[in-house]
Amino acid sequence: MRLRALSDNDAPLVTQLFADERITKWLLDAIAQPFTLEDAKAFIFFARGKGSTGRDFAIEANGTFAGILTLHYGEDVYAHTAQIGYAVLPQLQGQGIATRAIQCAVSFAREKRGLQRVYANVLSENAASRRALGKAGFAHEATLHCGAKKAGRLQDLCVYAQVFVEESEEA
Amino acid sequence: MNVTLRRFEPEDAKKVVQYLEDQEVFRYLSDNLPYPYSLQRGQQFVEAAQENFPLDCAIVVDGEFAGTIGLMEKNDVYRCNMEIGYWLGRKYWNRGVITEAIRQMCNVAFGQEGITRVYAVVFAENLSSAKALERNGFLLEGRHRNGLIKYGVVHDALIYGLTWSDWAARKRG
Repeated sequence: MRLRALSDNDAPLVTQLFADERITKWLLDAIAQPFTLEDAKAFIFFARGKGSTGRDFAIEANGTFAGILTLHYGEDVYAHTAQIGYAVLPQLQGQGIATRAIQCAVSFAREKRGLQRVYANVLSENAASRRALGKAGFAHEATLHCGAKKAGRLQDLCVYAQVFVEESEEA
Repeated sequence: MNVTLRRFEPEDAKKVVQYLEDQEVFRYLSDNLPYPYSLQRGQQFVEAAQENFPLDCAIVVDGEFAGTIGLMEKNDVYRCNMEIGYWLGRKYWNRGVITEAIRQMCNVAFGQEGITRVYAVVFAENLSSAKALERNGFLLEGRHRNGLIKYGVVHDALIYGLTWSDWAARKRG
């Protein structure tokens, strides 16, 4: 398992991922339906051009594309934080791929970016994603009542986070 | 004491700058605000806030400009939310002014099409802000560890939320 940059060759599997209702029902509406091969190419193009706002990675398992993981960097009073989002192809779920991808992303945020908090907003009904976050060492910090509107329905949103405290600041 | 909200006026800029000269007022605000805060910046702020009425309001206490309160729109799956934020000049603290301003601003928020939740992100040390939200029926939904950074120091954040249904039930009494 590793995280790598997205490549043009990923476009067919990115299309499969983001055209699948079992995946998109948990994602932002920004991943608009129907999602075509052209949309996947545009997604990959923009992912490469992302500057300081964040990073989109391909999740690779056993040498093949398994999903996407996104880090979105905060600004202002949130400048020390990143929000994490991810999706794993349905046929590859249940193998712990998301958990390991989340752990890789946390190491990247902490070591390469010097961030002090990584968090995820998850619909409360998304049990698989919540389990992956728990296994990756995230704590459930908050439940936002009616925090999101998805598929025309108000839903509770759970906030999970992993934080790092600088040893020197503790003293 | 009479607390009202109104559209910003150009003359408010001087007062905005005067109140923001106080580091104590600045402490729990955006980390991007420059200190000292210039009159030019105050005028730009007031101009933008005027345009954004009623989502940006001046708080007026007994006829005098006292501070500001605003609602931020959210997008995508968060579009049903508005985030509330505010500050008051120090001489108006501890008199229930912000509690009343939040009450009036929630009426504005829930009067907007499709808004079903108002929330606030509070520095965990900012007890008076948390209290003012609680007095308006906001529920503490969680504590974000390391949630905020200000002047290079990391703080926990408290998340307070008020749903439309809880708000409506309160109004009915």
